[in-house]
Amino acid sequence: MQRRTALKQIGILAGGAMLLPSCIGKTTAPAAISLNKLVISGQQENLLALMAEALIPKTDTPGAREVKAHHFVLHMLDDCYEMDAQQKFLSGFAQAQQAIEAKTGKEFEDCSLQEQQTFLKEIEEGKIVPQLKAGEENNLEAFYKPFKGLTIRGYLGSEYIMTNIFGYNMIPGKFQGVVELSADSDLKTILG
Amino acid sequence: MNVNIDSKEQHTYDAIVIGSGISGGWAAKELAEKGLKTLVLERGRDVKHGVDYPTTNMKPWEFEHKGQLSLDVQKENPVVSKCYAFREDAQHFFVKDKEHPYVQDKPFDWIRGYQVGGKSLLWARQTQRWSDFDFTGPQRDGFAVDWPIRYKDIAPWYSYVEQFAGISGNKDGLAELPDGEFLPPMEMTKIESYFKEKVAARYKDRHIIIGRCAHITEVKPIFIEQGRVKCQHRDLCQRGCPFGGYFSSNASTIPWALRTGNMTLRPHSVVDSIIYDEQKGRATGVRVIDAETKESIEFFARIIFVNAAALNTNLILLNSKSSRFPQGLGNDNGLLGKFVAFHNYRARVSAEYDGFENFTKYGNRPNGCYIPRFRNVRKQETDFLRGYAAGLYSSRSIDRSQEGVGEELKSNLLSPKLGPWHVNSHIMGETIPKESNTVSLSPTLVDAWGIPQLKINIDYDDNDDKMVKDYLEQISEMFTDAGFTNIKTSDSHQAPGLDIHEMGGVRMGHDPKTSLLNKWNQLHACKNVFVTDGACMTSTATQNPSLTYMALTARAVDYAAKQINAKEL
Repeated sequence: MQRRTALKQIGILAGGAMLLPSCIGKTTAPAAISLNKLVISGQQENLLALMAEALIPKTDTPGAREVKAHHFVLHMLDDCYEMDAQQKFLSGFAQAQQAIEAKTGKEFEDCSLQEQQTFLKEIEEGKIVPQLKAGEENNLEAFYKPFKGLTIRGYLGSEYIMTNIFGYNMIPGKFQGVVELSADSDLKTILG
Repeated sequence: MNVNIDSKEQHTYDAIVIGSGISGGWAAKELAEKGLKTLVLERGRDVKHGVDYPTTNMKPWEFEHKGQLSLDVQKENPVVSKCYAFREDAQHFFVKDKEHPYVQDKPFDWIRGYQVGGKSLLWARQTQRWSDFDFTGPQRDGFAVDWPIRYKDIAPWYSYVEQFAGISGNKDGLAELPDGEFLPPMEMTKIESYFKEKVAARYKDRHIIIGRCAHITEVKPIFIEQGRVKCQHRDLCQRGCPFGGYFSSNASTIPWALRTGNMTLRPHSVVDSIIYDEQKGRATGVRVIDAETKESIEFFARIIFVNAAALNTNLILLNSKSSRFPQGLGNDNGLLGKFVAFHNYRARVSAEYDGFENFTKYGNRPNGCYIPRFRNVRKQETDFLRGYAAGLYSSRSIDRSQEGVGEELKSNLLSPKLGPWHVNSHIMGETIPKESNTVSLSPTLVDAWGIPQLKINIDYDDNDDKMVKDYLEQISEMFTDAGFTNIKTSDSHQAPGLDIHEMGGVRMGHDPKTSLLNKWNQLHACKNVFVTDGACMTSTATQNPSLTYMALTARAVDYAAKQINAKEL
């Protein structure tokens, strides 16, 4: 009975949906991603993509957004996290948005890449203290840790990075037990 | 026209095989090749080689959760979720907890694969022969009953199945682990070869060898005939191999049997019981419940091979009650379902090594190294009976900093370095079959097909605990001697079952008073029923058991066919 009550409270009863905290939407387009439990707007999906991109930006190779690392974050959160962790993640996500606005006077998407990255770094270093309502918990870490970890996993496990950078080969054809490395061995050799 | 007679004729075969897993597949192949019209009953769905492997060519990034299963699936399946291979890519080949309930008098993680091919799609493919040190174990050490066979009885059949299945290995010349008909061995890594030398220098009776495994490492006509090619070192075996690089019923024995034109494969056929005819004094057929329609159907045959996987074979025999056999088919002595054993997989040792930093490997090796049993082999020398083999694997860790934000983080992520060598070992301990380790039928609970649920009452004992302690000490000592560092030992205390090496309950023996099966795997009391899966095992030894089931099956079919020709069956 307890679990059922909890489910009701955060709004994911069979067929229902948990909504990411809504903020002032810049786009009304629906999210591109299709999830099982969480329901998010295109604007929220976009914001997470921007955060992921700030974390791992495009350089001469794609960044997190282009390889859809933020979609991996959402799929994992949707299917592989406890309800409590999901709730804290979403709460922390909202707190991060409010905190950057309080700090810069701008929404995350309107900040420069430099400002966005400084902000993420400050969250990481515990320097950002969100304004909390009475009884509200600080969930910045509960958001940021899985966000960073999953973004990294999604990025490293993406097709582009696995094939172009790390030389993933589904059919090696053979196994060599002893490969000697030299100073100029490339990444594909090192990772074997 | 008599519909019933027609129907009975249509449902009559020379032989019935219950189960299509690793031993059932062999029974099917051997019977069909000998010209016997053979019906293979499989309780699950069909899985056609190459066709029904939905994930086999999926790239890592094509899995929504990169292999991890959703929390809902894990919570719904607390038992099978403990299995290392129950992941996003192979979950469809595992039995889900709720669909096939059983009663755990004591915790037992029963891992099952209900489909054509059974667990042969999922097995770890390690294939070692037993030696006489194993077959004489119960007699020498005074437990269970004496095996009615010795190595010489099974050796030609090991050779026979090895040549068809394709076994890779090195001829190591060890009396305790006889060499087989090997295809070229897989390679060891730098650190594994180093460890092998260190161990050999210190202990004359301990050997590190490359694993002997059911992978094709050399093209031969017999494999081409099966439509199988060399292992491509993808190391994605649990998905089903499109190359047939490893042995499974699906890639090998089942299509082979089908091609003879003598085999009929009937999936979705849940066996309720074996039919015993008291006038004839023999089993006459098998009662099946169609898994989809729940219709009860009877099939008839001259001989029946029970290869339902160890515990389900026990269940079928226990449920085959008649006035001649009120306690289950062939169970005159009341020992059916007793003396069940397994392998002890609880303990691990891990370590690191600072050195060989300029060495790595290329490709994947769906195999590891192996340490054959070295305790109590030639004589009793410890405070526990029997001993353990061990698996051994090495790899280099990847050091990759996740520090920073932005370009700094990105640069860290894209500049991985090789970390130290890691060496891991796990125990594979022989357990002593005991009368108290039993399976029986639940008097009250049935499954969705009305068949009694299996009650499992199996536990470790003091001998297992002592063995775990010794394994942790000995492997740690060997690692220390090799200069390994950061040595960590662990005992998971995992429940029996997760080893997926459950054996016994229908043991072989000389004497009908103390065993269920004779030396040909025939029920002493019902000679046209053969049991050649894990249920027949008198003791467990330390070897991965599948190769022995294959050899016993081929041997038993050969005997059965000769008996039929001699009109003895």
